[in-house]
Amino acid sequence: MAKPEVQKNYSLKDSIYLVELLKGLVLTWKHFIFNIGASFRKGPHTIPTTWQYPEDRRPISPIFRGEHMMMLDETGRELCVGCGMCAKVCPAKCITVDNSKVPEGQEDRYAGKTYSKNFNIDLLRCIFCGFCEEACPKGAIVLGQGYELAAYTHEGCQLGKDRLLENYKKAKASGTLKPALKPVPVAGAAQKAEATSAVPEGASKAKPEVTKKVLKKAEKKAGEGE
Amino acid sequence: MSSIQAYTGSGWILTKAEELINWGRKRSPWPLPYGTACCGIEMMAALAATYDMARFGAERPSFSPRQADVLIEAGTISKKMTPVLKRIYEQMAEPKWVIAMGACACSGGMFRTYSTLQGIDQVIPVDVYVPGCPPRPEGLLFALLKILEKIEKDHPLRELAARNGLEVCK
Amino acid sequence: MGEILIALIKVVFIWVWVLLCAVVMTWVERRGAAMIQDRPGPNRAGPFGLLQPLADGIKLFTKEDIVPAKAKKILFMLGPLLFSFPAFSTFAVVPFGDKFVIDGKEILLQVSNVNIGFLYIVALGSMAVYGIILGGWASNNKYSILGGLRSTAQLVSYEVPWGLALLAIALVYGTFSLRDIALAQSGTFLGVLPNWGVFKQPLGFILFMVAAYAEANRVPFDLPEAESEIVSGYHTEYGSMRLGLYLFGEYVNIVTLSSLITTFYFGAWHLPYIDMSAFLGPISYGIASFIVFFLKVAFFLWLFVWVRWTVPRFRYDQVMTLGWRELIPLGLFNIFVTALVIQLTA
Repeated sequence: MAKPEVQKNYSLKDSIYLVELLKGLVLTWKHFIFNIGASFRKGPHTIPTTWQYPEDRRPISPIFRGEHMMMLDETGRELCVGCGMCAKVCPAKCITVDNSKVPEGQEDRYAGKTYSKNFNIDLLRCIFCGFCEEACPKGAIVLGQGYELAAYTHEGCQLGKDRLLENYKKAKASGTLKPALKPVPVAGAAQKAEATSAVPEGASKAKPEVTKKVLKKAEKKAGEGE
Repeated sequence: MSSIQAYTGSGWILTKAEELINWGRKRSPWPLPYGTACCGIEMMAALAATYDMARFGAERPSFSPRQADVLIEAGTISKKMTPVLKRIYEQMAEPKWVIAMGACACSGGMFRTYSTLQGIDQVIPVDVYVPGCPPRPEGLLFALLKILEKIEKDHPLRELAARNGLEVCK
Repeated sequence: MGEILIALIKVVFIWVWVLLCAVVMTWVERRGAAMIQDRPGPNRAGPFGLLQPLADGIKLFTKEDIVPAKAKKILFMLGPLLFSFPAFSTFAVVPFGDKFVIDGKEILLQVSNVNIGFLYIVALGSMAVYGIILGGWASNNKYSILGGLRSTAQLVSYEVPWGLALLAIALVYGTFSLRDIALAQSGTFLGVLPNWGVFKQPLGFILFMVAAYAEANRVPFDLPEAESEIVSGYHTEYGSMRLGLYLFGEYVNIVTLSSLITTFYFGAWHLPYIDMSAFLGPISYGIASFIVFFLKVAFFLWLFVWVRWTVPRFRYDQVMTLGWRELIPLGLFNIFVTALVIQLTA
């Protein structure tokens, strides 16, 4: 990039500054008049730039990663089987899952043979990355659109199963329910990976063998080193 | 001093006086933007034109702790920064409130390391926790509204009396 | 006895009026700033946020009053007082209207008509500097002392162009008394232009305006309160109502300076080509002259807010360069040209 031009010598008009000052005043006056007129309009969204929370809420993107919810299938049974994939993949280690077999008589509540007896997401640790949503094999946990998460105590920020199901009900009622987002491979990614792989042409594609001979040699060397 | 007892609470004049004081405090919470990391950007967005915290009276963000009411702690606090945070909190004038904004301020977030303070409530008392990484500016405004709700339920005259060493009887 | 009573009424009236102006100015500043910046500004405390200054006042009164342990207590408490007191007192000589004539007795709309009004104003303006430097030094805080020193340097440097512009006014009107200057601005000269100071002394007007902004510590000269550099400057250690007094005193200062600009350069209470006393009765003339004065002051108050949210802050060396190397030669040149013109046309 070329070095930016810095103006070193100012003309008389610029160094007096009054002309620039007047131009600036005219600009701010225009903004002022526009906004005064706008502020007399009806409704919460008066000034176009500002979203006056809490009356006026900005539309949220459909893929926004907000408060979690636990999904039910079409017949109303919980999809979560308590496998613990979400807990394993979580970077902040904020999910605790406890798993047990579905007891007799409750098969209409749970879709699988096992369920998560205790499921807790600690919102104070969560970084809202969405890995749990991507990792879940059943698509049971989905990050929804809730962003009003503040609470007075630590307990108010723990998402237990009841709160997760409640979020599902609220999302369903407001029509913002969506299935779990899974990572989509970029078109042509497989071919690109092969083309740029480091193995040169003509080299054998056989895997190197860790034979017993190699292992014995390594042991001998370790024994000599001590 | 114990012979002077401050009667606060149920009289009409004193209740109205408390309501007036709470009304005034609710309408002008001056924030101290303590932005250390990425959450600071969302806090700046909340103070700027698109979401405008000034509507609630938080027009004058002051960087001097003596003049601020609400400490908005936005971002990761390392263990090296902890005595600074504690000192700033102690320098604030009563009454004061603290918002812990973001995962790192609430609980250390995903940084479970030897150098990161696991939540600022280990050193200062927190009034509202805002989860998020970073929380949306509306999330921060929601937390501010929760602080305002807390102010509404406050009893300022009892606090004034207690601060001046007077006994408070119901 | 009647005279003392009248003087007392005038004092109380002007005192209450200046306080109200300063209070409303806090609201105007916030809403004006917001409207310029494409946002609503305070709109929860009463309709259009009109009760916001009241809420601020209540909050500041009930906050804990902290005096730092190592601060010099007496000077710490004296700082805000010395800052606000001169701003109010300067109003004693400003003519805020012409006069009432009741039962044949003339009541001047001016608290005291001294014939050295000028010197009184310049002297009191210099006293405001004490408030800042005492507040900055007594806080025992390095940011405060830096802010206090910067502000002192700025205020002291800009008193020279201020005085030079005022000297030119004294040359033109030949008197130090503010009321006589205001009276001399009636009628027209050169046939078309009103006899106002701004047409007779355009360069002096610009000098006075720039110096007034610097005296008020307002953008573009608000280095003493530059947050990004020295936290809050001289009022870092002040909380609760002491801070309120500093902030309030700043607004009273602005009201005073606007009134001075109106009196010297914009014809105090005179309308451009119309002589109001010709068709109004004695009492309504007094009230009308007060209203005209107030409207002009309101325009300059709005100009203070308008410029604040348009222009960025000057750097410290730019402030000093402007004050010493550019405005003072211009002020001297202004006096020279004024004297020449007066001599040639006398």
